[in-house]
Amino acid sequence: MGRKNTLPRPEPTPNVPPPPQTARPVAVVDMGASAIRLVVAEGAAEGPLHLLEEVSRGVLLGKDTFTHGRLGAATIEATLKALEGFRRIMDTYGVIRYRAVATSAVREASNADAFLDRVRLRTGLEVEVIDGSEENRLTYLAVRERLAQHPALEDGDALLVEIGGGSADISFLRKGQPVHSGTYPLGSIRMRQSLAGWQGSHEQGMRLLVRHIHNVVDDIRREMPLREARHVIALGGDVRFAAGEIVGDLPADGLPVFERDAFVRFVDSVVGYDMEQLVEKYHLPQSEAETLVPALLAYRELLIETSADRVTVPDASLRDGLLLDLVRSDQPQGIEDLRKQVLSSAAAIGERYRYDAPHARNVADLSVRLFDELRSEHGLSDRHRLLLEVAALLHDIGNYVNIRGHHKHSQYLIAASEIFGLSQDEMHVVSNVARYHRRAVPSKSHLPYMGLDREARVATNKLSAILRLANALDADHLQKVKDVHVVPEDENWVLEVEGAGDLTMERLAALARADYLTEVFGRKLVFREGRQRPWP
Amino acid sequence: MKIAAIDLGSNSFHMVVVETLRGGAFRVIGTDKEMVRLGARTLSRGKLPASAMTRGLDALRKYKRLAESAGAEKILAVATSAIREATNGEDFLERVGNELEIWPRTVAGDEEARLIYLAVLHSVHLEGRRALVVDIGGGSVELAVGGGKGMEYGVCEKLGVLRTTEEFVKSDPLSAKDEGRLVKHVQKTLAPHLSRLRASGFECAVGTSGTILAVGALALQRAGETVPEPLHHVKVSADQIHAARKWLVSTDLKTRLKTPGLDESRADIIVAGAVVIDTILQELGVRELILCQWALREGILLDYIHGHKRSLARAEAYPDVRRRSVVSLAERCQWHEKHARKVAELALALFDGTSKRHGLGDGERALLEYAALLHDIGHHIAYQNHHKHTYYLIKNGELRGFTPLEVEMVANVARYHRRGRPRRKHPEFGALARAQRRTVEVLAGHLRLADSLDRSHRQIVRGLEVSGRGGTLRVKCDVTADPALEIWAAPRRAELLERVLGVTIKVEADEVVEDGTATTPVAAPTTDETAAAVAAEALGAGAPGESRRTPLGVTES
Repeated sequence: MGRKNTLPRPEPTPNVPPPPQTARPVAVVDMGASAIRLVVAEGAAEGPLHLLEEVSRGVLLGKDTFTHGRLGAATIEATLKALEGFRRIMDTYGVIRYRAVATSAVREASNADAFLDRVRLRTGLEVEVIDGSEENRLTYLAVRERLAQHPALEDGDALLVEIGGGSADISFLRKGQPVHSGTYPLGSIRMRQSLAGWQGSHEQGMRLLVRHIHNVVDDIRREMPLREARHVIALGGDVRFAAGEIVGDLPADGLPVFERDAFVRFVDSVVGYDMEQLVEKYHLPQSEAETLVPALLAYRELLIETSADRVTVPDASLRDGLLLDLVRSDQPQGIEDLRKQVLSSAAAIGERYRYDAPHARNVADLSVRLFDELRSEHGLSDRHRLLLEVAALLHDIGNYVNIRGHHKHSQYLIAASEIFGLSQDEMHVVSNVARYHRRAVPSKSHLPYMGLDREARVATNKLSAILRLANALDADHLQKVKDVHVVPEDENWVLEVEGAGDLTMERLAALARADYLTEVFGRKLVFREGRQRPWP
Repeated sequence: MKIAAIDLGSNSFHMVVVETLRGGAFRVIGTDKEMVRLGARTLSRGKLPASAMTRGLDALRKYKRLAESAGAEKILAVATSAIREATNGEDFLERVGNELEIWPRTVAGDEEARLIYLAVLHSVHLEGRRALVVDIGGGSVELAVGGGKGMEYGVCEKLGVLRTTEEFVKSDPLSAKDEGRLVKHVQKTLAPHLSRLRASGFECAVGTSGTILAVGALALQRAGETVPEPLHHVKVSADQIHAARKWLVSTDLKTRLKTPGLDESRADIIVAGAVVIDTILQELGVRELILCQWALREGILLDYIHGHKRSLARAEAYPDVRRRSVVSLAERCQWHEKHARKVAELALALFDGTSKRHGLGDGERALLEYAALLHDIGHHIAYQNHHKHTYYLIKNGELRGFTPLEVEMVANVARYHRRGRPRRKHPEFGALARAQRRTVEVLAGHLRLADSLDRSHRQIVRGLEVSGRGGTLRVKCDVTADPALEIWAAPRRAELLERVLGVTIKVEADEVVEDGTATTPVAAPTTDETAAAVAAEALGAGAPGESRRTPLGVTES
């Protein structure tokens, strides 16, 4: 999750009255592929946010990275100057809490680390590079806020699409909840770059683009049921431009909406123009004109795949999501919502690999139960609890590849997947916890395990010890164990199990798996059956 | 398809080899039995003695050989109470897995009962009646009640013959005291289930397992009836069983060993077995027992067949194990079949057309085909790095009919279907011997070019012809639609093949108006030609008219 950074402040003098009850302004900085933006806002956690200042500076980070693989000196200098200006504005407002993020244009630059270091030294700002999954999460937060109670989120399935410079972020929402989400190579700047050497007709160049987009859409269709989306929610400067041209004046609620056919017609007409013509006709700056057509083609091809007859274009952006997250992420409702979203995203992956859902759910329930029972012993956080739950749900997906060594295949598949709301680092922890659900324990010779930092390795040890015990309690895959308590008795832990039917296999499996638990926590395990229920 | 099923029982291991037939049925082509006696001393001590494990492994080793020589492609195995309850049971199973590559499923009591009931359902003509099924194994006894759809209520109790013999048979002949204790134990164990079993109701009773069949056969013999062979679907009355029990209790081991028709290996345990079955029948008020030769192992076969209808149907369609296995893996990963088959077709056409240059044979040709069919399965995991996911799935997806080296080759060829040179520093490629690395590069070169010829996934290249001499090869494509994307992609993707064969490759296609008519042949430029030269050539040739003559000049970028 995000880091909330604080800026160093001088000590207040003793005679200064205590700060006012309203919260201090907060700020977010978003470094995208073609511009960097600052927003300063204030507001309480529950109420609306009041924007104080919004500044944008065009800096072509994406062009450098997607063409040359690194950020050029001129671009870096321009960015640093702009960020210095942002810092001055933040100081003027007395901002203490802020979050600054960079996306694919910085993430994929080979000199990203050096660049971010210079940013820190020059401006004092700590910029966090976020991955596609976090981008999706933040964008979703913004959209959900902006479209609260809108039919696109309330009934039926919706496709949320943002075609960025480097890649496209797409989420499939079921009654407003994200169940599938991913990042795909449909970035407008990238697509534009790939055609840079094209010397054939403009028409053929466009056909090439469309073919490429089709191939990617084919893959997207495997991961989410595009046809079932009855609404399309589109974000991004290019589609907002199109909305402006098609719709003209904004409706009363400020939400541009246009019909599918109108959009298709508009895109068809725009595609016919080459760059010079676009600049002239629509008075666009060169950089925007270059990426407009690839972006609009991508939106069009996705729209055609769905069964939506109109497109909503809220002015919700990553920045809005950042702000909401900064101000509201500590709220319990927000945390519970996120947990649900993470779990449904995980369940979608489980289904893709045809997992045994009742077994997975049972093991997940028992895992978190044990986690809660052992809280005072393991000292791990709620975030770890969520990671354990996901690892438990997905621990057996490796069976899809091969039953032999399925724990290793589970690790591979999880590491290659994207789950809404979890970062790449967290996915690595989850994949390791899932790998160690059987007999083998983590070892220095296991590369993926050693790729974790120390804190993550310790967490993996504890979580996998719990997972293997929970898995043993459903050894039969018949979900006979309904509940479990841990009662400390002398130096031991008594595992009191409530279940139905013959629990012999579960007992034996649990005792066999308890060794690692003893190694990690230093306690011996004793199995005791609680209230015996007759077989239903 | 031929499948073997092995039941690792506490008393004996049984194997049956069957051939599946259309409609989910099968016919038995062989059976075997080994009295392994895993349960001896295990059930009381809680651990499998080393000697028992050795016996077990030997028996399984023999079964594996038999199954393979019978042509079985799959071995199903199930382990029951002795292994289930032993603390080192899993160790034993892991040894079985590591040494023999057989992976038995451990089933718990209720699951065992369900599978036995399934076997009975498919082998005994119940005529719509509700049935009670009784199975007496070495370690446990299963009782199952149900109707025509399957088991509704199952019981599994520790009353198996090995166990009860160890615990209660302390005298020979069996003393009245020992008999009384055994009977009381059976009654006490059954008591909690009786009302439920009676309430479920049954109209007939079926007995399975070696012990019951042995007792049944003896009962018929003692009653003066002929004992049919096979002993399947034969009815024995409860009175006859009772008489057999009384007789057995009065005998000593020597007498029993001399009794014709009584299996010597059962002579010691059959007494307890008869007492147990007789007591059960009395407690439940059963008048007559139908003997059934099918039991747990047939149950697992049926269970497997029901769950794998599709793969069995595929077995009929693809008799070649390798091809079937490849298609099976591809289907599991939801392949784009048309694209994959087209790429395979084009890859083989290129391979055949360049055979004098590369000198590889039929074996390598087959590997190329399989790699082509599987090259995109990694998409099922993720678009990003799908070529590496393809490698992983091929390597670990249990392809059958290939040696490990062949699997490694196919996986490497498929992995390199995109860009980039195979490099020795890639560990999987680097681990191959030099000759194998060259083969991978040659095959991957063909695959890569073939894949580019279906870049649009529309299968517009109907066929191709390779010609040329010396340092230049021409690949002439017969296309059904505008090949702009394919031709544009081809030159870069041909580089690998150019390098390994030491040639320059020119890919050509007739330029086609979208309605399918061909006009002027236009070639994609090689790295030597410039776009302008190609454009000039195209503009100068051909007839005027409706055909578009747009130069397909492309520079390498």
